[in-house]
Amino acid sequence: MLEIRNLSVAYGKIVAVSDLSLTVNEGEIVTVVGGNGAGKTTTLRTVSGVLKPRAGEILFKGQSIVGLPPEAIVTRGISHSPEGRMIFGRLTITENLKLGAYNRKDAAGVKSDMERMFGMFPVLEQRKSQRAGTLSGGEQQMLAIARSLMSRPTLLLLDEPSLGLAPLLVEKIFDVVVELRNEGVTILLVEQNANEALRISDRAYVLETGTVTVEGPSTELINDPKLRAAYLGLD
Amino acid sequence: MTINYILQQLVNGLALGSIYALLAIGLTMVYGILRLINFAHGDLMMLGAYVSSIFISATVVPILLAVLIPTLLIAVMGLIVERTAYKPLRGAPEVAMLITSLGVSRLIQNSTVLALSPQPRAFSLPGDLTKTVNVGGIRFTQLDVLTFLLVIVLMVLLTLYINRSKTGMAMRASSENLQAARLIGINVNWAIGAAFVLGSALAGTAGFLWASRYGIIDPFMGFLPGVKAFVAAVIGGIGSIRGAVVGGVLLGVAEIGFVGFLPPEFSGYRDAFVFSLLLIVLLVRPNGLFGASEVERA
Amino acid sequence: MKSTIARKTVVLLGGLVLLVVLLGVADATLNNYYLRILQLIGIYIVLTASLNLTNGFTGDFSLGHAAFMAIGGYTSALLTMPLAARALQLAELPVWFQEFVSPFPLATVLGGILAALVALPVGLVVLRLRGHYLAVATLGLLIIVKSIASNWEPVTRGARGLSGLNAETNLWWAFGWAVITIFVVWRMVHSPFGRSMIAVRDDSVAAASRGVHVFRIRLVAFIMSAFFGGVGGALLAHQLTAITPPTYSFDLTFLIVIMLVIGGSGSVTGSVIGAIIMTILPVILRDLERRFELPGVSQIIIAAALIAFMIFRRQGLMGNRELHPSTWFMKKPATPASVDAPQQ
Ligand SMILES: Nc1ncnc2c1ncn2[C@@H]1O[C@H](COP(=O)(O)OP(=O)(O)OP(=O)(O)O)[C@@H](O)[C@H]1O
Ligand SMILES: [Mg+2]
Repeated sequence: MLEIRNLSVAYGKIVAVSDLSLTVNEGEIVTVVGGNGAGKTTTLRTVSGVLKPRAGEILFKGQSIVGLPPEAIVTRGISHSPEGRMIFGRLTITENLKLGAYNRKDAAGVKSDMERMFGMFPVLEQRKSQRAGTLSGGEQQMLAIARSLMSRPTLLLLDEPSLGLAPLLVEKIFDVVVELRNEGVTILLVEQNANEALRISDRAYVLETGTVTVEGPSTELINDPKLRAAYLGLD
Repeated sequence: MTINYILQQLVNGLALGSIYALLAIGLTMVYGILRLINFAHGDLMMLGAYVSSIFISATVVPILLAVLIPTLLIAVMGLIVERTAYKPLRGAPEVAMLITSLGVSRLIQNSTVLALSPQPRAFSLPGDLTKTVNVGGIRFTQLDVLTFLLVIVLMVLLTLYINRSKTGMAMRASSENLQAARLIGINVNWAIGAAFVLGSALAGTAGFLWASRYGIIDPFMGFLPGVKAFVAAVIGGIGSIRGAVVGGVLLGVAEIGFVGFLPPEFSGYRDAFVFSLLLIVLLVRPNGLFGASEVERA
Repeated sequence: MKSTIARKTVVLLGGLVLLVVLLGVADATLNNYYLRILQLIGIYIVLTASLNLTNGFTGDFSLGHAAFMAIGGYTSALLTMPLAARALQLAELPVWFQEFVSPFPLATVLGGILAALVALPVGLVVLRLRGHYLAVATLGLLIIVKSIASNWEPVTRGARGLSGLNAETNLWWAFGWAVITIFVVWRMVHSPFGRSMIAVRDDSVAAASRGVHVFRIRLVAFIMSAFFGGVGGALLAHQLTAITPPTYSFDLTFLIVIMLVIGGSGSVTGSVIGAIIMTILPVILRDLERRFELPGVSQIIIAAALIAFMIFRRQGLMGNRELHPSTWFMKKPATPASVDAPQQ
């Protein structure tokens, strides 16, 4: 579904991603782990069209999406729930959700999706006309995910959804991710919480200084003693 | 000093303040999204005044057109400026945008000089608009009344649009976090374009009002009011439309008050007074009255 | 090492001698019109190189340079004004002042010092701001100074201004000050202080965390910039021999900003190049403008060029590189870090 080939991305002179290749097949949950500054966020932002690659290809459903503006990429079915949530705190929760559906023309579908989101995250419905900035961190994360689902993506990019959340909420978020996959959304998940992420994902990539160093089925990676020591913070 | 004199000054201050408010709205919307001080904004007002003067001098045209046509034309003009000069600078350091807007300001001023003349020209309203009405000793012109009405109506319409429409929502989102707006697929160029169109339209209206008040227009008339309107936007809290309106009105009243209530030898310092106010506000309350965004501090 | 230093000195001295010879030839051969243009180049080099300290090197974008020029210009004009002119124009000033005529060089320095003294409290206030807010605040300073010049009748004579000054500014003063300014700015920038300036510009938070006194660095740069601004204002006053409030207008600030950005903020030699180009170009353009009776065209061309520069060559002609004669024969010197913010 998504195929990244030999991707390189730089901020000015700083090269953040170099020669990175990665594939996500339809229906998979794919995890990307890696230390701070490894280039995970940069990769996702490039897929979303916010950053332009210096070299490499990004194919979505077999077609190149490099050079397309972000809104065109959203329309094709890729949605991005960014690191740090980036909800619009001065707008209401309903408005945040509506903005997630900014490029959709089917008003009725948007309305029913909104109901679906409220069903999935009841706390959002209770507070739907309040400013999103008044939500707690965990609630904001749910709003961010809900907002990104409002565009009806077939591929969802999730950047560190469990960051800074209490264990119970982390569980809830991972449950949601699994549920989404069961509903047919393909997921590319970036996580520091690698242990949990590997448990729910099919395959995984380890990123180091902008490139893939290890890849394989999650079950293999989770049991690799070297990886466990180096990246998973276990043992 | 009679109560009538005070009220009279208040009327004059409100009239000037209304014009600042119209200008400040455009500046605050653009600054909110792009972090750009559009130094050319006042020059768009000047163009509005010139367009308006064409229709004012043709007496057969109803006065409404002398307001409406500059409003529409300057809206288009603002969009052209955005797309040609500012859009290529997305992501550039803010200083590059600032310098560009100074360049655009110069370009507009001197194009007007070239196309018309550097000399000021008279702008005279049809007689009945300048006729004064005496209400309990306070003199209003019909123009004053028209100014207030126009400003209030435009303000209400704009607020409704920003708060209710999809584009308005996108503008607010872009103003809060441009990166996030882009990332989730909002067409931010559309939102930016809308901010320029709406803001410039108001500048076009302001051009008519300013010229009507002072009766004279010249190619360089817009720069200082434009910068003062930015001061008003800062006083109100940059990024906030309500702040721009309140800041504009306060600044107009303060400026007229400064001239009206201090001995005449101070009146030459009115511009200095405005900018001293700016400095005080920036230091004491940098977010202004309603500001949500913060001043970048060292 | 030693030999390169000696070589540098030789090249620099050689350059100075060459400059003196060229100026001497120019002085002897050129007519008044061209001499005045040449002098203006010297004055604008002083102004652009000094504005570079704030706008280029510490990244504090000031629009107030003309304010400091006005302070230097008015101060020096008051000090040098011939007694006869003074009796006519400044009768309201105290008697002791009526009789004190300062030599031009002293007046120039005093003009610079007063500008620097004003810059101290002003800097303490406006440098709490950065970015756009600083730009507008310094523009405000300019407007405040202009208001004072327009209204403080006994001292500035308001709109009539001060006139009857001796035409003291000549090639030697203009270029003498240009050389001094370049020397001082160069030494400042290529010193530990200069590295701190650039660190402050590129990332003031990181600089502060490394122990750089961010505010002090910015304040010193602002004050130094103001000093040479005042000197430049004094030189201009004694070239024009008469000054009024519009002499030190926003147009002048803007012209210097254009010189700086076209030359390349962040490059000392860029300032020189920018000043030369943007002194000569407007003269030529205004000539054409008059010949073809197209008022405004010169300003239109300059503004359009500025916008084009911002879009296509934001770093100016020189970027942050230097054109350094002594290095033409050896390896490139270490240049300060990049001016460009990361592009997204
Ligand atoms: N806007 C930017 N400008 C310059 N450099 C950047 C920018 N954003 C990221 N970088 C650099 O690019 C590299 C990769 O950053 P990125 O955010 O992609 O890492 P990451 O893997 O997401 O890290 P983390 O786990 O901390 O979120 C880092 O060295 C970072 O400093
Ligand atoms: Mg990241």
